[in-house]
Amino acid sequence: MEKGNSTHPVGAEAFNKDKKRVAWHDKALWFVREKRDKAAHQIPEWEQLRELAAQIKAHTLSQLDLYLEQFEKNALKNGIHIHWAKDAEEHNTIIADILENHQAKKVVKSKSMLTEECGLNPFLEQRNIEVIDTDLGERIVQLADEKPSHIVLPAIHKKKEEVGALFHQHLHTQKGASDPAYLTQEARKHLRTKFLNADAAITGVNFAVANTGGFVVCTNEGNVDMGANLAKVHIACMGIEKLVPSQEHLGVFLRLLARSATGQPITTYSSHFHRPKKGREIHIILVDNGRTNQLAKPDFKSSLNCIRCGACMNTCPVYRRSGGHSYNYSIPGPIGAILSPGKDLKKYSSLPFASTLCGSCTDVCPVKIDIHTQLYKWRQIIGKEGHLPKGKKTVMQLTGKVMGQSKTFSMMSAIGKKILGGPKVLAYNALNPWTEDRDLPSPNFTFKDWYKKNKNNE
Amino acid sequence: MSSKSSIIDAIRNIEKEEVHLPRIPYFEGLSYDSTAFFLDMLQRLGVEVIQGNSIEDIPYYLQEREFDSKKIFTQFSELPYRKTLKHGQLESIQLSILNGKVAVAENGAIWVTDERLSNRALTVIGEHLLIAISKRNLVWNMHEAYANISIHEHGYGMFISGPSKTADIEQSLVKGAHGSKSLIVFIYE
Amino acid sequence: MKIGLFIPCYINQLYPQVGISTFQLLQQYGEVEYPISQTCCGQPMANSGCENDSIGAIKVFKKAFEKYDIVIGPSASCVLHLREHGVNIFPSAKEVIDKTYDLTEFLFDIIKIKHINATFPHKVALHKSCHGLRGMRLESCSERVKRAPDKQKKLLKLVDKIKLVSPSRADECCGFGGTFSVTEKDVSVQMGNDRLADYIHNGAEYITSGDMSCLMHLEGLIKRQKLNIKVIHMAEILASNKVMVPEEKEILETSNIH
Repeated sequence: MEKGNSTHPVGAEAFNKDKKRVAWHDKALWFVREKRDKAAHQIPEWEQLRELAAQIKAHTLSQLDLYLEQFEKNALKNGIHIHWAKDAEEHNTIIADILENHQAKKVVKSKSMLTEECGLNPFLEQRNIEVIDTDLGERIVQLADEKPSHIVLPAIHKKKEEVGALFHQHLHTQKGASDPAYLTQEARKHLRTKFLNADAAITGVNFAVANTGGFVVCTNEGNVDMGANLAKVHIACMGIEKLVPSQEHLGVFLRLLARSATGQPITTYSSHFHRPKKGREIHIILVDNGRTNQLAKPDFKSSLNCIRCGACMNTCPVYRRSGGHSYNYSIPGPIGAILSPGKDLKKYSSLPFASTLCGSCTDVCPVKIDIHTQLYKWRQIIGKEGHLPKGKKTVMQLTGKVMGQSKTFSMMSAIGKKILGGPKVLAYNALNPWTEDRDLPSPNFTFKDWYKKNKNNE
Repeated sequence: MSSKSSIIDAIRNIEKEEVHLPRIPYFEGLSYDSTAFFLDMLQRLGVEVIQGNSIEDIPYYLQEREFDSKKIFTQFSELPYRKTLKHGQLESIQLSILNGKVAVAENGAIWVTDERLSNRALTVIGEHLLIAISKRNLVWNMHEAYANISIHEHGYGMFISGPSKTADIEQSLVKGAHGSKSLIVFIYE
Repeated sequence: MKIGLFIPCYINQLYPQVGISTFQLLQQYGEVEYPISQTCCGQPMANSGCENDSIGAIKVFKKAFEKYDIVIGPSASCVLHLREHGVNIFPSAKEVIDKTYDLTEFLFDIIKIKHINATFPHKVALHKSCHGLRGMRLESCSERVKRAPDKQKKLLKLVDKIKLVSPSRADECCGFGGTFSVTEKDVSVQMGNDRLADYIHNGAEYITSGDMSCLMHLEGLIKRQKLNIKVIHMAEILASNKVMVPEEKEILETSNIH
């Protein structure tokens, strides 16, 4: 495991220094989770839709090569430019080249977790290109020089007073003003000038349709439509897993996505792009960046079903009490904890352990990714590859030996009781953090003792 | 080897079991009255509803409101408003009147396309938005909606289900993030 | 029916009374035996990423229990672990694992009990342990549109004079999570305290559950903070009228085995 503040427990400990903020963060996300529950319960066929969505994704992934080729063929016919990127660097370079060809210096960008994953913003900024994140939450974290802490609610960790101070500093709003309506209106004005003067727009892709060669982007703010429709060039970045076979499948996903994400019946705007307007250009970048590796792992390939709704974050009791930044990965929460080890097992080795395996993530997931099972499976791989903290590994080996032999177990129980003043064979020295906040009972007999003495009386 | 071939080859080399593409069954509506459900949904989405007889009635309903008719854009040739706009004029638009093709009762979304849309940004850039939809074009859910449209017929099309909104500041809902600050749905026969 | 009593390691050592109650409950339905060679289901190692270190424990489990008609343990979590992962870890244990059930499953699905001679005149909140809730679907969970049979709630409702109270968050995890409680101590403690505040706020005198591990974590916090709420395993409530004979009680109080 890495040193420094990169592991989840370290980030979580820092987040938990401010108990009031933890409670506030937990409550804000629980509110979204409850809205999601209500929205899901309105649809009697909800569980059936989840199953359908999972099957459609599984099918598409099982023939992804064919669907990608079909998609490319149809998109080209539609007059869309198609690019393929093996990794983050190629993705970023392709975008820089497109921008250079158009002498584009001012770029507006709507939410795209893929561009976060690829580190696009710093890459372009180094090349003197202005990249403005236009989703309000993303603009807030951009101004604060932070990363999004949630994939749907990027600034969920920020209080309105902090946003007010940030806007006062950068957008010259009234000092001390923190009314969300006022701040949003000021951001609207500020970003309108950016939209109207942008040379190019970069967006993500929620779904791409193989047999029509077009794609769908969903927002509530309308920033995709402002950006992509005003600028001369629209660059849409998508992971290769975003495909669905045909338009009828969109019906399933659009019923699930917003209900899972925010509890809305659908996002305000679900925009379908198939051809550029005359004199304009649309580019799509199809990005692998580790996805084919994940697809090759039978235990983990269904993580590619993810439609980035964020429901697993909202429901995760650990995420709600540790904050998105504690994961130190572009996609935090349970889904991030099963995607990240595929990218860098050692670096992200603490993330699959940032869970009680309560399974709530699996039950809210609209595409039925068995997230908690995958967390368990990543743990085994991390154990086998030797990325467990040393102390933990030793304790587990020792415990395994004790539990593997009835006699040793009995003996250790007895010794444990004598030395430690209680039967603490379970945890040994790893027990210290337990006892900082919690007591353990110390009965003066075990069940086994009782049974031996009493079985004949029964 | 090009990146395309290396990605496609990588996928092809993975041993994958065949997974059947499921058939999407017919899903019934959530109540017996789709119109009532739709109207209720629009109200919950913060949408104003005007019920009229035909498209031609729209100016009548708008005359009481403080719109400058030169600053109204419409997709309808029969309406006496602007049909084309230059880039520089877009921002001054007070109201965009769009032609709704299919409305979805379950979620209040209405399908609009780029047909007679001089600039695609007119779906969002106007201060306010009006979408006219015929009662006859109301369907129950997204499955029915997609069965009634062809998304590739239009270079650009979208489902709109309310005014632009955000809740990015402390989860408090604010209308008019980037797009229209209000939505009027004009329902005609 | 020859019943093998599976008492999870931490219950054996820290909560012997839960084992006693389970034993007493099961005695009504068959010949109950506790094979003393048993140790542990192996979950602590496996959940820590060390499945291989848990093979020995499952081998011991298999050997200890293969001779019984059925194996019952008062822990959804341990039983679920064996079911979901045990077979994969040590395949030849499949036959034993297939006949291993959690106490709730046994009483509700196999015995199908309709009456129980138990009295518990207290306000009780059911803490739905995640493994029982989502792993075994013993109870309905708020995420899902499908309802489950609410087995634990129905069993508790058979108890005389019990008053069940509902927390505001019906089924949030307590934060135990095995070694999670130690490696992610801050979040674990916060989760536990949040659960406790919810149960206390809603007037519960007792928190009960089919899993003692959740309750061990919660009790640890209760005792340290001297909170006015208690924990009790479901088996103890269901066996509340099994009055112990005086000799046993004496043994309990005076036993000093080592």
